[in-house]
Amino acid sequence: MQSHVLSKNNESTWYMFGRDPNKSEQIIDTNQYMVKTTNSAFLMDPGGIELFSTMFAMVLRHSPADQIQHIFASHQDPDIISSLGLWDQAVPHAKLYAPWLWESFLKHFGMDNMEYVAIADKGMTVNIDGLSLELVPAHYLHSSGNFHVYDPVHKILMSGDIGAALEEDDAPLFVEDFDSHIPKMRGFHQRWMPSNQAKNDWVERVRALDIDMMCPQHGRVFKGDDVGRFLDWFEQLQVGVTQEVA
Amino acid sequence: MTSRKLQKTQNKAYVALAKISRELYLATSKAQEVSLIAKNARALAVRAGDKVLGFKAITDFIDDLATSTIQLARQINKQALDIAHMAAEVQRKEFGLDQFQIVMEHPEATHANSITKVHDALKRDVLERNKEQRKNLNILISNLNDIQQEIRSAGIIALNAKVESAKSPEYQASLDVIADDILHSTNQIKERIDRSQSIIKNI
Repeated sequence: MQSHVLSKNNESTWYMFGRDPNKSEQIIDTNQYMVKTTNSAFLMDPGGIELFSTMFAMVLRHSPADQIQHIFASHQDPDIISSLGLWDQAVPHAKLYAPWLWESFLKHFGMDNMEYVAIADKGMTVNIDGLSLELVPAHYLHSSGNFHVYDPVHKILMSGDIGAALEEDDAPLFVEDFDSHIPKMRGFHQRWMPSNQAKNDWVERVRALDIDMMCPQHGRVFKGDDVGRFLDWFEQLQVGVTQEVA
Repeated sequence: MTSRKLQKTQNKAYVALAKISRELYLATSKAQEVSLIAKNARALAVRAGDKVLGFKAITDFIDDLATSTIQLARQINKQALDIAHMAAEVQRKEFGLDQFQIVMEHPEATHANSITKVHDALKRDVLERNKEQRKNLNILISNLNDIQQEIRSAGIIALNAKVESAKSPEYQASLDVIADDILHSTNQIKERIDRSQSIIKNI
């Protein structure tokens, strides 16, 4: 698994983990993210059970276990958080931030130790070592209880499945040519995102944020003008389409 | 034993315990049948009066035995399910232990020593739970032996019922059918318990 620094200042660093060459071919490639401050770490969508040991090893490259105090699950999917039972044993002191809607479902993955912080529908702000992270509602995109993470200091939006692309596991880290990237995203968004209304609400909400980098859970990261290009493209896209579209 | 070997043992344990639970469920159903047959036999014996007093005493005894077998089988079934639940829990923890081991040996995990405490605590927990599980399995084995003993007694008594039926030619045919039914059912229960004992030996 590769580890990349996406953004860094004196107080905090954003890491991206993914593009694991040793991952089983049968499971979808995923991007995991972490914000590390001086004394704490906030882990986002730490991934499935299959990649737990590699992911944990990569996290321990940048942070001791006792500093992993916050884990965030954008929604309930297995590629997002089926490793929960293992994180629960590895960092029992940590808090899990996840949609209130999924609390009794997520606990099926095994959660005896960690505290479940149920995110209300309107979202919340989490303070880590003075860094404020906003948990932004993204309901029905694609899950009925869904959140993204916005960091106003680094101007990064961790956008879960929004912006995801299905492509080769060794694809470049960043979108290089937006137009040629569209075919890799279109089918995924049309099929997986069920609601045009939810999509438009989200676009409006996200347009109000100052974003330099948009980081999805699959595929490449959007930066600079490509963030706006993505929002324009997504806004005009008809979603909730079930026929073959790609 | 390495964690991976322990894990295989646990895998085997909860599959085996689920099988035992099934055998005990089927044995309980058979014991319920025996109890019903014994109750019917008792009704017949009441009608037959003094001519079949010996047979009546036997069917009373078999009914009591069937009731106690049902209770014991249910109790053992619950024990088997509790142990299976625990085995699944231990298996999950052993999987975690294996994963931690991989992380601790990973060349990129600079802060790997920060999980030593959690790893060691988990290892102790797994060893404790394995010990407790072994103890619970021994209790299960002992209870299976008890139930097997009861069923053997029921089988022998059912044979006696045939002798008793011969003393009442008027009712012999009906009583023989009842005795044969009881004998057949107790043999089936015995087979189920035999199977359970054989499964548990392989855990």
